[in-house]
Amino acid sequence: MKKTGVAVKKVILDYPIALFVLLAVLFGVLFVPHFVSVYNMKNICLQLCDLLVIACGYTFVELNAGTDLSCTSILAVGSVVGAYVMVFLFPEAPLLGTVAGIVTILFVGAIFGAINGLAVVRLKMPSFIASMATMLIGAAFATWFASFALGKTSIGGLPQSFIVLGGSGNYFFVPIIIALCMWGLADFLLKRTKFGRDVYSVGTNPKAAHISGIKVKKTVFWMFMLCALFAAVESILLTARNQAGMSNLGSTMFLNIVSAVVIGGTSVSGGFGGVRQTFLGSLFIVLINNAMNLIGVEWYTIMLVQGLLILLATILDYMVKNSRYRVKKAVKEE
Amino acid sequence: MKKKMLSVILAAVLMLNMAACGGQESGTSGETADTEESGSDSETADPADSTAVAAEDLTFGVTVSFITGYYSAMIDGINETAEEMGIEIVLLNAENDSTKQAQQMENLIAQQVDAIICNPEDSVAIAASVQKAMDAGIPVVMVDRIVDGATPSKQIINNSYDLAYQLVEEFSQSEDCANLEAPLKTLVMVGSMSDSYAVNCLNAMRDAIAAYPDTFELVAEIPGDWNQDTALKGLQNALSANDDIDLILTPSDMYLPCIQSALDQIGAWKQIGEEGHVMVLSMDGDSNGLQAIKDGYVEADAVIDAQVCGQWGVEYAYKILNGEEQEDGATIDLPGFIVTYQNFEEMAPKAYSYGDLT
Repeated sequence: MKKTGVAVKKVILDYPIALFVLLAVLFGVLFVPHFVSVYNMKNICLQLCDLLVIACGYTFVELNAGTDLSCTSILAVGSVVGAYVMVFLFPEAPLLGTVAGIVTILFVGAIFGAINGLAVVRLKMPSFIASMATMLIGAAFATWFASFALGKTSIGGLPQSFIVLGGSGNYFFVPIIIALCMWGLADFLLKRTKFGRDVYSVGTNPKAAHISGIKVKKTVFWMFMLCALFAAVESILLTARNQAGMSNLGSTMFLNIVSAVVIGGTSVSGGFGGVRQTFLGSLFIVLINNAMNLIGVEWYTIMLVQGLLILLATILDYMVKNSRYRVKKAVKEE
Repeated sequence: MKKKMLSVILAAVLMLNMAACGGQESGTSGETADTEESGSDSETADPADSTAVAAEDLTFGVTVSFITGYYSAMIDGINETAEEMGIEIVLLNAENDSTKQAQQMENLIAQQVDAIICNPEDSVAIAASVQKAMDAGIPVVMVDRIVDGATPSKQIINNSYDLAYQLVEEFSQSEDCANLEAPLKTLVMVGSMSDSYAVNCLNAMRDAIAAYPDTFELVAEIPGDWNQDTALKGLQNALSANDDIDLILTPSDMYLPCIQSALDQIGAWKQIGEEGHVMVLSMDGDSNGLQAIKDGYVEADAVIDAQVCGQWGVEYAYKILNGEEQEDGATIDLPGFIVTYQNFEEMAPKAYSYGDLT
């Protein structure tokens, strides 16, 4: 009996946000009109896709107590460059254009990831500074490219085969499957591979990791690379969802990305957490926004509530931290 | 450990469940949307039936791109009109994020509001959401900006290019520009380049300046990104590089505080007629802009009636729900006019912000 008690406690301590998600669902079901409708379930799934992939990517960086401010710029640069390739370079071949567009967007992500990673690993720049530089460069490039080089605020007319990725019409399951696959991939990398174990070791204590023979630099580089690549996949989904390449895509998303990761329970100081937590964190943010929209709450109230919840989650995180060690000890002693 | 696995499995099942719900429903959603549509059709298609929708039972969803003095006036127009008619308003702010706006549109559809009044952040990106709402039988009225790629019920548009061009052109014909010895050295303030309004204004100002080379000489364009801080710094730098600026053009009254501050620093925030006065032409016609004309600092302000825009949005949505004929077509232009310091007494009272002046 005591054994199960400890195990349950461990689950609650590992996923404290699960309780909040359940409460949010319960609240929605009981008090929010139209919350339980097929159409709204579809909405929630689609809106989860808007956040989940990039938040999963960000989790890698957060596990190293790092920051990647440039991830929203990757959304914008990927979006305008990818749309340019599809609309202007392959106007006659939509299918080929779609493939070329996707490859281009992933390539954009890889460039950002490589610059961020190298700046942090080789130049020993703090990730905040390195990614701030790439964020500014990216935002400037996206605006210049769309507004001045092409003279457009947004690049429409994307091929239908690409728009499907955003879940238009009856294809709404496409982005859901992509997002879940990316989430599964991230979880697999973190929990089932040597790379994943290295991530946690480096995030907890880089010196100790180095002494025990882990290639710290390589691991950190790949954390940034993965963050950027996941952001690139999100850029594909969001560009397809908006059906346009946009130079300001995701410009206000950063807050939600960090909230999803931190509310989920990945530690701000690195080494603890994962994409399972991020999944719950993202779901929670989507549920809160959705429920409050449905009730008809004004947007500033939504911001207020979100701010309070971040505060609450962080306090909870610190309170839980101590108990976590106690429970770990208890589990070990058995 | 077992429990931990269990929780993961449960979460996965939950997620799959949700996805499956969505999956099964792809067929039925079409049906429900259809029945809803036919339901509302039967209500609205037959005005002779005199089953006019009672305004008191209606809820309109509103999503705006972001909040400035201009859009606040539009929202006031929406709220006041709706309150008079007894319509309930759900107001959402997309905060310059078109993905967020798409989500808000979806949530408004899920909420089954009776009509949506949409001020899009991006004309192309909003198309899919507008189509979704129209497919679900919810009429959409676009306000201030158009949608590109879908057919809404009505578009009430702000023809910003024409108005900006008219502002500069009329000024070039005015007595202020008579007997110029050399062209006016002109600075142009720029909004966010990802915003169609800002781009239209910039293009109009460029074109008008190019059309009157004897009157204007474009010295610099100052990117402000709809951010007062960025605009102020850019303007300060431009003024220190060119100390003989004669004229500043701005696409929005929101930049007037920066213009005042930057000119103040070099001692050039002076009333019209004083030595060293720098001329200013602005747009929006909010209370800041008109106050500056009244106080004699700004030459002219192009007023787009934001409040009327909001008012029409609600009225047209109601008319559409009642199946009234739309004789004025699918797209109507918002009235715009120019208030100058010469015609202030005559024109300013027509502006939505006149009541706020001191």
